[in-house]
Amino acid sequence: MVKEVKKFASKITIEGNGKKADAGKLLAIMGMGIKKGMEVTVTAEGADEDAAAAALEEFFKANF
Amino acid sequence: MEKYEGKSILKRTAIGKMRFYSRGEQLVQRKSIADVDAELARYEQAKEQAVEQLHGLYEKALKEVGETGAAIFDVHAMMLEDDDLNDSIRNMIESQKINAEYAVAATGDNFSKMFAEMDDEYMQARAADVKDVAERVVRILYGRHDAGDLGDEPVILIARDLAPSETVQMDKSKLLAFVTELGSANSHTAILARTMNIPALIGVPVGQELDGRMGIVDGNAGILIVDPDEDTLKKYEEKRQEEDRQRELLQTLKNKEDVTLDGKHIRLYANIGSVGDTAKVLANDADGIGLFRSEFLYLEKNDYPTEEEQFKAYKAVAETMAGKKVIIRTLDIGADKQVDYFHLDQEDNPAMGYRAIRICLDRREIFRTQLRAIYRASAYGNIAIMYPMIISVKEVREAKAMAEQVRAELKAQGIPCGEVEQGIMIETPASVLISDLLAEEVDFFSIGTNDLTQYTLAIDRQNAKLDPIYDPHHPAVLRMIQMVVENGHKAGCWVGICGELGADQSLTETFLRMGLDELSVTPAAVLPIRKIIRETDLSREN
Repeated sequence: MVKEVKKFASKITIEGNGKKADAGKLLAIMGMGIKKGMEVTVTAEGADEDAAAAALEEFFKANF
Repeated sequence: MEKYEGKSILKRTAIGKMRFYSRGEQLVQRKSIADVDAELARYEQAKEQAVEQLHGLYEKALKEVGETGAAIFDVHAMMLEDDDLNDSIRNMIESQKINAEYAVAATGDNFSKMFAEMDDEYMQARAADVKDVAERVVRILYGRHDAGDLGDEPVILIARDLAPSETVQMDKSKLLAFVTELGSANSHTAILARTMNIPALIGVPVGQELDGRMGIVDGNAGILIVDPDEDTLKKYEEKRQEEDRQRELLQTLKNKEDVTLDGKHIRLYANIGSVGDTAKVLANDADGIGLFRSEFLYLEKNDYPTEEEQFKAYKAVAETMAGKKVIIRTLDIGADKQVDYFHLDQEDNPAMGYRAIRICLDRREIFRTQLRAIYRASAYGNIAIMYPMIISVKEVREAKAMAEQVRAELKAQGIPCGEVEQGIMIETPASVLISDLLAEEVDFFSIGTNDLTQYTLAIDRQNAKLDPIYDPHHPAVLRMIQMVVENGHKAGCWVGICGELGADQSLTETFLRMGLDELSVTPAAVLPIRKIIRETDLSREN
């Protein structure tokens, strides 16, 4: 997921398990303790935010 | 000879020389530096080199153990590129004016600590990953080399702990097993052992004194044997050969059809006595479960299992078998089993006493509970039901009536059920002789050869004195099987064997010729029997 996020210029955040982190930061995301079955919210803000949101939605569907 | 207990990661056996491995300790000293920019540059260079090394290790691991085992190095490389990690290291160098070695080690420790404190076992094990990554950079900064020489012959690798970067550099063909003191079921070593399919033990206190000595890793019992004596060595050597044979068989026979050279098909199922056995059924590639002994739910308990408890167990097996047939035998208990809460009278002849279907048709509440649980579970898979110890048509009709009642009850309650084939065990001489009548009442027969032989030959199986005259191939038994098959087929029933005789390899061809439709055997016997089936040509005279 981090690799996917890094493809875009927008600032992408992931929220879940009561925490929030930059979706491009591997260690921070691991530290959130998100497990299978939990709900997460992904926000994209920036020039390519639409493309980013669409791509990430695909990614989540395919991998999680 | 010494024995050490540990936790097993993989249930196989390894025999060989032990090699003790220990990484040289790295002491990181905190030093003040004058030129911050130069130090930052040093760090960047070391980091680049580390990432390069990791990519190289990824490629090597990819070839040796595949994507899943290699992924760890990709993740390590990403950890090194992580913004937070790098910010922390750079900040320390800039603000505290200290050497890169210390900044990296301290940052590594901090992140590692964060993982170690998480409440998820998998994440806790990742603490070791972060440490390993940091140590790699530190090693480069100090100009040290990597480790990994195992020697000329295959060894059992013993260490206090093993990091991914250490194991990947090792020549896999020289690794027989892992034994470590530290680590968890989720640690890298465990994952690697499973990927490589070699035995591994954790939690065994190990030291330099084990280096060079002979060892046996018993992955089944979870023990390490040091300096085994001749008898022990022989025993384990045999075990290891057996494991190799089974594995080879599995490779060649998995997913192959149970069909003879001349095209006759037979169903090859497995017998189980607990929910956990289901894994063995799938591992040995049986086509279904021909006998699910439900007694385990009643044995060694203080009270009757509830409908919910039973339902959960049957459902679990049905789901795991994913559409493959699961034949559940209703409770087959008697005075000879440990079930105090049943309050069964003491009997002189429990084998011929108040047991099995007789208890069920007398104490209908117990039977009803089991039937409800089975019918409820039938909505989750392919379940059939089988009644034991049958001697009359009347018994079968009563059992079927109760099943029908349960089905109607559940329907009225809106609880879904699946289609449930009904069959009986043929294990009494009476049932054999009236098998033509019984065949009209059920969908299938399953021959319980153990008890059938006992009752027919009038020999107590438990009486060792009678072993010389106990002939499981007795013509009386074989004639009975033949008769049951013919009568069953006349009325459209399929006929199988779930007793031990089914696994008797000297009889497989005979059974095929008789026209048996199914053989249900102990999981370990599935593939050997499949081999025989596939090598048999019934069109040839024998």
